[in-house]
Amino acid sequence: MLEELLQMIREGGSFDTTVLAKKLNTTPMMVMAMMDHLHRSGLIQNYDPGQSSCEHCSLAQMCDPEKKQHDIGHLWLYEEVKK
Amino acid sequence: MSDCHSSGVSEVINLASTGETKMPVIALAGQPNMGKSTLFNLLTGLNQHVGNWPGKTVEQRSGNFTLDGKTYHLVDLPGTYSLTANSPEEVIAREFILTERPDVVIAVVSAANLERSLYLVSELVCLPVPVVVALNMMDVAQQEGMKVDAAVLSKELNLPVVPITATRALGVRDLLQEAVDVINGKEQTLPNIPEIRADVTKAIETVENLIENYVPTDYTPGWVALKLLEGDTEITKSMKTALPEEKWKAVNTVLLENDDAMVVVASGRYNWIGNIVRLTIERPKMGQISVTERLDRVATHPVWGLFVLAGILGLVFWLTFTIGSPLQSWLATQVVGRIAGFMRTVMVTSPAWLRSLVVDGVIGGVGAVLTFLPILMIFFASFGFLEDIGYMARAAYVMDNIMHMMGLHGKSFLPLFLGFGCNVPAIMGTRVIDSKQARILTILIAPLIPCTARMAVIAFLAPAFFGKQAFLVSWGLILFSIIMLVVLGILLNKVVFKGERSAFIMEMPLYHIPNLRTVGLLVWQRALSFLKKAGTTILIASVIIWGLSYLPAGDLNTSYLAIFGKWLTPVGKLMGFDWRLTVALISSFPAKENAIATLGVLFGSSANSGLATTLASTFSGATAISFLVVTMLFIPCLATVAVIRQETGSIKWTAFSVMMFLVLSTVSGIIVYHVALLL
Repeated sequence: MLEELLQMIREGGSFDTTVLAKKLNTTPMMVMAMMDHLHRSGLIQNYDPGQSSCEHCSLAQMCDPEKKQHDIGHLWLYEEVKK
Repeated sequence: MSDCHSSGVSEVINLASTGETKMPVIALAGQPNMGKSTLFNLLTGLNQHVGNWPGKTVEQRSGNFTLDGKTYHLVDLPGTYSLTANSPEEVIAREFILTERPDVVIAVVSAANLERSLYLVSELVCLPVPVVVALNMMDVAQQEGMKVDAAVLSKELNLPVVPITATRALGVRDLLQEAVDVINGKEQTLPNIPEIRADVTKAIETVENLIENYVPTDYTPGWVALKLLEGDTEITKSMKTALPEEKWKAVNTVLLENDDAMVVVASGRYNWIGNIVRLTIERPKMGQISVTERLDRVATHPVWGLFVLAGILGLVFWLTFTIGSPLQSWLATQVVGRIAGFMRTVMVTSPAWLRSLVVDGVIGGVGAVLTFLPILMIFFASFGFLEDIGYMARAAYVMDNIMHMMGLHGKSFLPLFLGFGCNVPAIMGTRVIDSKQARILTILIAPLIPCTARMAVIAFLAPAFFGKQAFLVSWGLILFSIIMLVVLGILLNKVVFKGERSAFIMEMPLYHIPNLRTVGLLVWQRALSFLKKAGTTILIASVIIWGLSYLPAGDLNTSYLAIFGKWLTPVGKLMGFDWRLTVALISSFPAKENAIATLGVLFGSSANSGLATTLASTFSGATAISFLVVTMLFIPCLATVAVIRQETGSIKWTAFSVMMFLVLSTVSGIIVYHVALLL
């Protein structure tokens, strides 16, 4: 299942974990678990738009990065590495 | 197909003492946040020892508990996602199990998230120790409407599984009894183990044969071979040292031939988990999840989703113009205009410069900006509402979809995603880009994202100039800005990223009923922040603008500001601006709202007609649309420029960015003005 997921991601595009779950005939939770696995293995990047990008920003309070993070859920990014 | 370890579990129940104590040793293993520590504290209470694992900075917790008169030693292993050496915690956990050989390992899993927590179990079942599964958080699973069948799970794993709720101490005695039965040999464990693709299984067997006589005593060759193929750094390092050079070369050849083994092995485990979960869990069919799914069929559809997004954006503007603009107009005439008139009367005996400072400078400038607070509040409330119901993630997803189709790189999209509220986090968001060149270029295009301040200025000016057409004009301006962003982004992808493929994966939050308190709080905080800005930055800017418009002789037309503005008239004229509009535009550099403040200072406020009405009667439609386009594309605000300087670390690139937007906005303004004159 992880192989198929990685294959889909490697083809590029935008993905929603729910749609991926349907394509793989599994649950969104399973996709989330596999995404975290791929992140731990260094194959994709986990993106935290909240704290990491706002920690030194004077407007962070107005921006409410914590709420933003909560509202958008998880974000991952895959980037092809050319050999 | 083959199993993940060749030696079988019979070898496992070869129990060893801990060396430190004669007591039976139970290890608690589990991923973080599965309730392992709650269970540990519940069992040991105050009878626990806390220190560090030898040579590591990872906390070690152990303690004793008594059951039916017999004392057991309990070791709380660090929370780990797997047993591959990705972190010190994972190395500690597996080293303890392999070298200390606890009498039993209790694997704590979450009933509410078996998909994630069973991964560790899929690795534990390959180790030479008996395993009992504590199916924790049964209450959470129940609250989420899930039915988790412990008996089926036990059958599929072929391991003892005990449902518990550690937070309420439910099922804990049964769990301990099961563990004790395993320790006493009353129950044998022979778990079902994940299957791995045939070619990788063959590779494992080949490596196993090559390393058989060189594996450390506590390890099994099958497990070491598996970890080598998984690319485990610790095992690879130790085996490279332990093996003769020729053997290592042979092993390395197999590893290189199977460089995808890491994914294949994990995939086998996830297939194993997927099959178990499918049989074990019954999920609710209806409710919030299916509502989200049904709504997302439209909201995240590549085509319909765009229509929904455009419709929602239009609705926000419609709300702003229908409710906000009349309120703004009322505030301008009935509040600010009257206050200005009152102050003019009260200060009739004061020096003319002081009266002008208060009435034209402070009330005219800050007052004009404050009148568009209702517009801003509607903006904040609308976006707060959309964020709170969970729509903003969909909007980002739909945008990314279309941009990806157009060839925009996923990493360039991130700033767009982050920048709708403010350009500052958008530029900070480019930190995700490793290549310096790509990062700088993405920083350069990030300010094209229409930020709230610019949208609010547009929302203020569009109805003044265009009346009922304001809705279409605002919508078109946003679209124009986004098209510019996409065009530059595509260029960026072709030139810098050179067409590399990328993917952007999002977890969509469930739709939910908005919490009015949360939205209200957000509006309140942002309104307060805006008022603070009006009382500081905008007040200072208004006073400066007033000073420049009053000095040296108290006449606007001969003031320093007029001299400066008239000096720029040749350029402004090309865009249809008089010197006042040119100056208003330049004053928006410290903060976008200053454009309104400057217009307020230069055109004044009265109880008869607000600033919007005065502007509408002064400028033509072509000038108005040109001014709006230039405002959208003009140099980003001072805070954004400062962040560009900070993030690029270069004055040269900062200056380039300022110049780029100056040229882009001027050229666009000239084109739009002349095209509008023809229509």
